[in-house]
Amino acid sequence: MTVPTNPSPDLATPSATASAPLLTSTSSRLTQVLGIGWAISVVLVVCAAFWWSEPDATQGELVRLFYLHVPLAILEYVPFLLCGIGSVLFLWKRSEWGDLMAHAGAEVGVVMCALTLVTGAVWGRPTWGTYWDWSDVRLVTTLILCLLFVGYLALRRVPGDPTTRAKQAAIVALVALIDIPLINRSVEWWENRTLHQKGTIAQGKIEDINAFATLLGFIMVGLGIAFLMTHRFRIAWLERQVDRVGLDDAIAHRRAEAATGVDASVGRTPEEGGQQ
Amino acid sequence: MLRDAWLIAAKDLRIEWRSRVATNQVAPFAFLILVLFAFALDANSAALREFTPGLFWVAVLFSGMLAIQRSFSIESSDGVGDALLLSGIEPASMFLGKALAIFLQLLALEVILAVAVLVLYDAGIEDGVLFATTSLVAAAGVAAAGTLYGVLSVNLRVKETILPLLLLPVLAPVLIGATRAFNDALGTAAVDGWAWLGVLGLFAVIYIVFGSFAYGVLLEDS
Amino acid sequence: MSYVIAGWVIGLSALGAYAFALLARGRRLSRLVAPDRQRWSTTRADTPTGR
Repeated sequence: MTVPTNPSPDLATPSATASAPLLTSTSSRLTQVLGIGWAISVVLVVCAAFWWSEPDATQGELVRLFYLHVPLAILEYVPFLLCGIGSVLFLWKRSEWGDLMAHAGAEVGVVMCALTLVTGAVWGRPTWGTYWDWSDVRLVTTLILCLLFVGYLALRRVPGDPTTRAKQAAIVALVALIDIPLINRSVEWWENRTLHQKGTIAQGKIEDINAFATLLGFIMVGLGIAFLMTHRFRIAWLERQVDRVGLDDAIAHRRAEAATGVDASVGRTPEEGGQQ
Repeated sequence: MLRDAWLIAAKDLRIEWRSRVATNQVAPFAFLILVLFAFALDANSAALREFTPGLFWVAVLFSGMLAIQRSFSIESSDGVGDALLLSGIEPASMFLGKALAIFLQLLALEVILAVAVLVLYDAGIEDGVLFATTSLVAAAGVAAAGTLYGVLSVNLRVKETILPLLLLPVLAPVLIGATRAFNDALGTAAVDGWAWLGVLGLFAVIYIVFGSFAYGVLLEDS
Repeated sequence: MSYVIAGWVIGLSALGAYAFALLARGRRLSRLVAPDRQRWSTTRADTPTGR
């Protein structure tokens, strides 16, 4: 019974050996499929962006960055929305699941948001001649959105009672999400102009192959969000377990189980072991 | 409900008045910010006059942050918070009371800062009604959001650092809106200040309503 | 064009780095938690026995 990845020899019951390599990560069949799909879509979208698609009539080669930037900029709202839904579920039903999803959504959202800003700035430099433009509504809104959830994550990192912290975080998430339309409105009025092209896709100006590349970009970012969210959610779950049980308790518990063999989870091992 | 709110507000203001922290520390700090801006802008009178609205509101937000922290640090000592919970006053009333006290302190700060910018930055008021209304409505918004985040952070060990990080991004629309409205009121830019007042009013209403409901959740076991 | 490549490299490498950081964190944490508390792995643990 030598399982290299297994931390404790006491865990090496037949059931544990059958699945030991899988038990030491947040992976599951779902995330493996998502991860492989994500990797394939990254390759596809890179090919589509750099080789298959044509330069844009107005933007030239720079449009190739859009196949990454635009999906990020639009889909970044999905994790934040999930964060909001999770927060409501927690406040309404005291759902632990909702709380963990809120935490996962905020972190993945901040990563997406930061990448939107970076890719946007890199695109803006050759196009507008500047990395940053304060008169652009979407830039400033995205920046504030990012900062709001940086604060949220900072609050979540403060040690303390999980339930109290979850309540506080849920309120902060809802305040932030309520604030977004207000920020967007006020920045738009602030300087009533935007450097962004308005609705290029809607106007049907994009060529077929470029629309395909955009679609691939959306699929790639979407799969990435699903993959990252699932893993982040499981990490949040594990952290909660570690907090709750405590490391020593958990090990002691498992040792006692393995020694006596009366626990329900160990109870099912004979039949599994019998098939080995 | 409103009577309870008033009781809470009166209690807070009485404590503030007796401790003199607001008058001896927060108000001079607000004034100091204005002086620092003058240094930062290289004593350029034209620039100071032009940017008075923005500088004014940044000074209000920073000094207001101190007032909000003050307002909740007096709760955390001597078990005042527990006593309030036991008093049977509704959380919504408590929220309104705390917010009202902060609102009145913010107004006092705004008056001091307004006099200071008129004298130091040579600003001139063109539309007094807009100036006064903007000050009132923006202070209401800051007080509502600040009260909600104040009670949220009061029992955290890192409350001094987490409160500005959480609150200032939320107040971004207030800073933009109040600055633009003041641009109109002080005649430093041609904008429709009354339209901006709408944004400020919406912000204040949303956070007063949301805060009244959310305050109870945050009080329950913190 | 160099900006486009820079943008893609930054974007994809940051996403990749974040993904690997999450996986590593998940591995480290799951060692600390008993397997029967990891719901996603219990279904996996049962699958091989079906052979």
